[in-house]
Amino acid sequence: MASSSSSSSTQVKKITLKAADGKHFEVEEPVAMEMETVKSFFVGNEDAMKDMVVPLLNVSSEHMPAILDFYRNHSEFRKRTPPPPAEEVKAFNEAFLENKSDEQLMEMIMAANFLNTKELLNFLTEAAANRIKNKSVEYVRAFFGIENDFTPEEEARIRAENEWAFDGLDED
Amino acid sequence: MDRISELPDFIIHHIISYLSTQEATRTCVLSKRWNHLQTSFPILDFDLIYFAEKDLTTGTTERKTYNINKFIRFVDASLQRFCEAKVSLQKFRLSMEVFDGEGVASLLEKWVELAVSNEVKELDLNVQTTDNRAHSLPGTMVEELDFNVRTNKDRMYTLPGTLFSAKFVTTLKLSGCNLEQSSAHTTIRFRSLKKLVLNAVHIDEQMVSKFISECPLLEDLFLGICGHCKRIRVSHAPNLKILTVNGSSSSFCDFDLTVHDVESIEIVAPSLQQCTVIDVDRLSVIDMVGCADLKYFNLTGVKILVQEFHKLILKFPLLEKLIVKCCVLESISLSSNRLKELQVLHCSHLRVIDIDAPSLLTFSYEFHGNPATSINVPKPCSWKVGLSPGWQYRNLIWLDSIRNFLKLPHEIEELRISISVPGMDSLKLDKLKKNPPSLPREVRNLTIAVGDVHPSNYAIWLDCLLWICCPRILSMKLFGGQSSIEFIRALLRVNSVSFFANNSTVNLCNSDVNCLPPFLAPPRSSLTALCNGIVTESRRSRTNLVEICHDGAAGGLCDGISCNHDGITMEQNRPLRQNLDGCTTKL
Repeated sequence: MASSSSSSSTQVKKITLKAADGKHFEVEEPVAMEMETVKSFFVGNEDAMKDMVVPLLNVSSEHMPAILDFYRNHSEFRKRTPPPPAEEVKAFNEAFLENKSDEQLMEMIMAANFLNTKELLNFLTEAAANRIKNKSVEYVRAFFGIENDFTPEEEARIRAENEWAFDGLDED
Repeated sequence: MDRISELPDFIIHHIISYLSTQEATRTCVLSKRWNHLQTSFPILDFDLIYFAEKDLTTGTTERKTYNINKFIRFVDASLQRFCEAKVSLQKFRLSMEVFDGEGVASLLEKWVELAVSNEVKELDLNVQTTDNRAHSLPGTMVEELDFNVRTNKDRMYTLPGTLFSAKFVTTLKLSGCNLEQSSAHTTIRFRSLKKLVLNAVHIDEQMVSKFISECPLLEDLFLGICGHCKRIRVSHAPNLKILTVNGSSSSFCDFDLTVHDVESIEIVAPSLQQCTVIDVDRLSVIDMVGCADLKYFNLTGVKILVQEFHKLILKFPLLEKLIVKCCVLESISLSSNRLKELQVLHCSHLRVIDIDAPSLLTFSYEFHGNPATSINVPKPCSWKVGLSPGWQYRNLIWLDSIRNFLKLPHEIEELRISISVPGMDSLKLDKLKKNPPSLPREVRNLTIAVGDVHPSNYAIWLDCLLWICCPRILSMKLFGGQSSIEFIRALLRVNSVSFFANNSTVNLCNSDVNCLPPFLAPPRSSLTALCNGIVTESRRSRTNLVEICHDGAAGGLCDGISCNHDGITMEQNRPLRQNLDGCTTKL
């Protein structure tokens, strides 16, 4: 679903973004400029600006609405005086992550990396870290889809070398 | 396919940076790629406490012994491996206790040198000197011995000179070291340093001045000093924004307090925004001439005279937040157009508060015993009041004085009452009721912090407190094994529940849920039933929400409750976060 352009927002310049699967998204300029990748597309290319479609090859349209929503809200949080209460930001962030599968979280991290926005990347990587906190080695492997390429002997040796870090951990 | 294999290394490092040190280390066993990523992870955090050995005989962790040799081998190997990865070091933290600072000096020198040559940005060294003999001595002797060794600067670890050439370091934290000798003749080259924390270090006046004048970018300075430092002078610090002078961190490490404590502080810092002075007992002079930009000022535990205080405050025309805590002032009178927040906490001599501040948004006032006799604060600001009975007061008289205090014509947003006095001999509601009647004062949020009170007295305390004020939200904080179930029972019994205002809420915070003795810890089902009971009961009395909160450590007991009733929620503390700012850069 593309972001709707209402009649009242004619003053705000819009930029069209094209997701990996070809879907177009019309985005208010300041929101689009939150993404370094979009910003750098226009650097030294200012005349062409308004009508050009910015291709975002690594971002699927599935995640675009959520990502744009994040930029919109967080840029508003940053601008507001006095700053919004911590609970409000927390509530938004929690709602953002709710119902996102591990798979979707990984895809969005890749997208945030491609779009080159520190704030979103920091937020998502922290969310990923929170999901693997206090989890067993097996769980973390499954979470990231990591294939264990150690032999049992190698793994035992590495565990022994870092014994202190495994101390008191319940193994499954 | 391997989902993570698409992620670049620096993103994996980023994710790892939000984990605890142990968790981060454990990722080395996931796969060969993760094992390799570990060696170039630019945050190196070494703490001897991770190498504590379990005492198999008692199973306690009270007196820990550490496997120092294992620790040293691990640090050494990790650092070597990291150097081979040829990336710049974001953070190096080392925290350890040594028997004799000089004994490990050569090793530490090597590590610091490696960190510096890898362009370390954040450096945090905590090297405490302790006495091995302490562990074989009983009780009080240990304390004394430990104390003596910590204070003996000759036994303290002296930092190597290479440290002072760390030109990439932006944050430097040093604890427990001796800086007097190491750097007397060294040139300091902290050209990038923005934040400096000196905690419990031996340092003299000249060194403090040298640090300040040789770090042109310094923005944030924390001084927790022990040593021959009677005067602290902060000048030639054009970029300094935050300054903290903390005497309480020095008192534990210095044996002869009367000789070494700071007596005067002089600050000339044109960019200074925040200044905090804590527990500098002998301080007689605070001179802050060139700090007209100051917005935040915190004076805690400082024996400053009334005239001095008022003279000082006049120098900060832009002040927005002022905290005065545990000071011996008899009066505070301020006039400011900018002041937004004022906290006056536990100033036991205080009799007069006179504030003329039209922009004031919050006024926090906490006291033991009796309140100040004259309080004049601009009306439209929110009040946060915390109070507890002083030891010398009879409870009934105290409650009456609180009742009078609450007659002030102000909206009270938060009222926190701490009760911890056992023996409620004279505390009877009907006695309180004999006083001239008046409606209970309406407050938005009443928090009752319960310390050493017998559960049989909960009901009477609640009764009395709800007689003098009626909260829209009632929260309880129970400490030291106080029983939450008894409190709920008491609340159900109390007549005053009918005094609750419309749309009241009840919070129950118990930080020790899991510490309850087994006979007090109710089965989950009965606690749930009680909670449902209180919800029903409070609905009848127009209170429509019950919240049970407890700290993260507690788990278990309350878990089941959160989902049983939509009116009951639970809060948990968020875990600590480690931050990796910026990504790995190749040397």
